Amino acid sequence: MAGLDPRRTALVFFDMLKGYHYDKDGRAIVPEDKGLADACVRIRDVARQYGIPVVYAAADHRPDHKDASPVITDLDLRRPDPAPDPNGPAGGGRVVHGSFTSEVIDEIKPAPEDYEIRKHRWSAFHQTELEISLRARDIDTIILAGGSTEVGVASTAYSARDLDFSVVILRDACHSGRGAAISDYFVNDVGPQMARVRTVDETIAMLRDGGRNG
Amino acid sequence: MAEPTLDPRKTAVLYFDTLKVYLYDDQGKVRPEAKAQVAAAQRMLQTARSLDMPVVYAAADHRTDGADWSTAITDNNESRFVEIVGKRRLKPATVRTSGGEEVIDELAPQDGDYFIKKHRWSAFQGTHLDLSMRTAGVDTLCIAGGGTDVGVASTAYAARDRDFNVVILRDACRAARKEIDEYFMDHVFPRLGRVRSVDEAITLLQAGANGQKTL
Repeated sequence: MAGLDPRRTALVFFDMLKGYHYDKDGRAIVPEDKGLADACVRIRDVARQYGIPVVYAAADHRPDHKDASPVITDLDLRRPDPAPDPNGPAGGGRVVHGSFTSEVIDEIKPAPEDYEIRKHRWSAFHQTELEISLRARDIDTIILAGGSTEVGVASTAYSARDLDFSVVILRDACHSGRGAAISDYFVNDVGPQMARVRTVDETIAMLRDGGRNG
Repeated sequence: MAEPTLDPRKTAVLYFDTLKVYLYDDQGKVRPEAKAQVAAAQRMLQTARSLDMPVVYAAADHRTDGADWSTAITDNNESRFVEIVGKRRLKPATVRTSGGEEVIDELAPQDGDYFIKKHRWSAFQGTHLDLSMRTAGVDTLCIAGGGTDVGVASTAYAARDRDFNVVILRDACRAARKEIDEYFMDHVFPRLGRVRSVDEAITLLQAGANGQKTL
């Protein structure tokens, strides 16, 4: 298996926010997302060990909605969002500007040297400083984790591929707000065409190989 | 909820890689598995012509020397990667002189159409599609072609982030496997735009042409 050169690789967490993964009080992760958070922590710790830049791409929208996406979708036309599940994550999986819901989960809390990319549409590359931030330090590969897989992770992976970044999609560190089956299909049946799809452990092994050979 | 119609003055039809190399067999005929897709795409084109809508052809354009080929490493297509111009690169299905890079005769372009030469999957990446559509007053793209999970999806995600309304023409798109089409049509595209058959889109366009705002 080809290695990953830690000097040319970045780790990108997509929307790992409390609004999607914490309980109502914002105190703790919901039980079903503990495995996801653990996977994120493991890859983050290895990234720190190698000095790999860690990027947090997170939604940023004006409270007055003036920068909201105006596009017409089937979801809006036919299927208004269901009422929030009282036992589900905070705000029914919504992120509200200026509240704890828009914070990155504490498990992988950003450090001052990390990159925080405020994004306004789905792709983390769309009108953000992500591309220049990566190119400026000769990064050619991104490791991608977070969710939702078929929304922001997918959009970011398509963009990265077209910008000539190699992408490693972390199979066990991606999730979809609409269930594991939706996430898994994208990862397994669509991902391999544009990316390498690997577990966190496989990726750690690739970094070890790349670090040694580089 | 009442559905907004499509205004033909603000809506373009975008044909993605509807090229001979992908849709014709060795005899220069439409491949059997693509016949229904091509027939639907043709019906859309007739309507677009009759309503004087902008028609866009986004088509792969790759240098013969390999200098502009993609370098992103992937799990699939291992056998198509070649060491060329200093890097491992993906050999495209068609390059400038390989033949088959023309749009199929069934969807023949005419003077005044937009021709977008694209070098990656998304028809927006490194092209003038965004500028051309905005200056023409287009706010909605009806997308046909393939592969659904490759260029169509990449272009749809990009269009969504650029605030274009997207209408995916379900029966005029095709992936390598039916199951992939169904995944995108049922679970991915409804979130970034509308998924409609060509006939449904034609109905929305004709209503829009008659001045109806909703249907």
